[in-house]
Amino acid sequence: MNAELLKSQLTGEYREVFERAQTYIMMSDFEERYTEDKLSELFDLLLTAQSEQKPVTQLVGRDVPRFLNDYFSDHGLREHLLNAAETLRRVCWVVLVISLLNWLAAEHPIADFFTVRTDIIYVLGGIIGGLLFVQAARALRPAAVNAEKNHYGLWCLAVIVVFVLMIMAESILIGDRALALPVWMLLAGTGAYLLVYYTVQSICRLKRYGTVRDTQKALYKDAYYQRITDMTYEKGVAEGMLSQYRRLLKRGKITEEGYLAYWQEKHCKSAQSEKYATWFLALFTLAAIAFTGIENLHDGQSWVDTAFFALIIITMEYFIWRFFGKIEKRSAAAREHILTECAANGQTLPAYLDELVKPVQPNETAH
Amino acid sequence: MDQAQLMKGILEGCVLAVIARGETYGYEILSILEQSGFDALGEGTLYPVLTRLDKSGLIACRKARSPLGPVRKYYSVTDAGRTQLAEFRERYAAITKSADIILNGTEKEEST
Repeated sequence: MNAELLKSQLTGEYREVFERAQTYIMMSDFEERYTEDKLSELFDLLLTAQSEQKPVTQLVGRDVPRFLNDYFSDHGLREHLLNAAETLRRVCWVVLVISLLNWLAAEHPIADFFTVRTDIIYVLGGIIGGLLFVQAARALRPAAVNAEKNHYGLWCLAVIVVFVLMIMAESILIGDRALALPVWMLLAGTGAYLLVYYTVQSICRLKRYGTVRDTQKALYKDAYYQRITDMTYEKGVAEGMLSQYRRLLKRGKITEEGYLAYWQEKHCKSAQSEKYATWFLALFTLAAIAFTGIENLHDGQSWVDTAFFALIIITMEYFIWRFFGKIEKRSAAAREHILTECAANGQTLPAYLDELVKPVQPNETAH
Repeated sequence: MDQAQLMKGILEGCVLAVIARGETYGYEILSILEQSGFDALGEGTLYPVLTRLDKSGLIACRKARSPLGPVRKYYSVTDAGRTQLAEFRERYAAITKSADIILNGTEKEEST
């Protein structure tokens, strides 16, 4: 669930309360599921009040910080323990992957390229630093929540600064100290914890929901949330198109009536450009692997080096392609929707875009 | 005497009574309480009450899509909740009867 997308549906004082709740959460050490639950419930409350134009003071009272303290007062021991278990799960995955890579690379010539330390001291330092960071954020929370104006961005920055200072202090304090553990111990320990974690999680889900799947995640991916995501994305694309129109109009390169046809042609060409880009990336990857293979053969190195290099570069290129491909696909879908709707409405494209980028009105919601 | 303090003692019972009327949600509960005269209620106190009732097994909670679209928590009373509500009603009747005797008795003495 993306809280920023939900916030985009709220206006004025309703949005202000939601943002203050976000600030409160940012300065607290809340479990992820708990945060999702509470924000979702608060969003429903505020959205309903907004649609009925009920003053927000009738819902939360005049003392918003007090409302937030009461609203989040049910985060108890159980939630703290769940949060700790979840954080440990993430740390275990990081340690497991690094230990696996170290174990694979240890006996091989490429060890120089890819050996990573199995120093547990950085992980321990991270855990201690994390706990101190949480306490620091909690100490700043009253100031953030009680401030007359909610400077959410400023508090985000403050939290990041505290985090960076902690990392620097940790690096200085740890220095050259090392606490290396055998790789097998790290693999066994993290593997065992993850096995227990996922087993217990599956049993609890089965008992409660009759399935091991994460049903809550599915709930937040339904048509309504997808529609908000699409609308927000479409708005971003529309703002870009409108900005381009103003630039082109200033230079005398386009007319209001001609802008729709301009974009329809450009949109057709973009699908082709995407195909060319994919082919180019694939050929570039193959060429890089071939070149490395020939070089390694010439230097008398084993084919395993080439295979390992191929694995790394294919993995990297795949994720890069997927990331940018996803963005382009979404942009293309948003453009397609804009151009189709505009043509159906019989408006000029700039006029249609102008309406699209207007702020959400209190009675408008993404049904 | 602080009205909020008086309300805190009966809030859980009243919220349980509202939920016992039929499956409902946070905003509706707040509206019913407000219409009934609980306008001095600290609104943030409703949600901890709902959490306590849920954890005690007196109410059940399910998530479903609201008419406006987002996920909403709907609360309904359990059998244990109905029993608890019946006991609360008895206790409340006994307390208000006793308080009535004292308060009305005091006024009668003052008038004579």
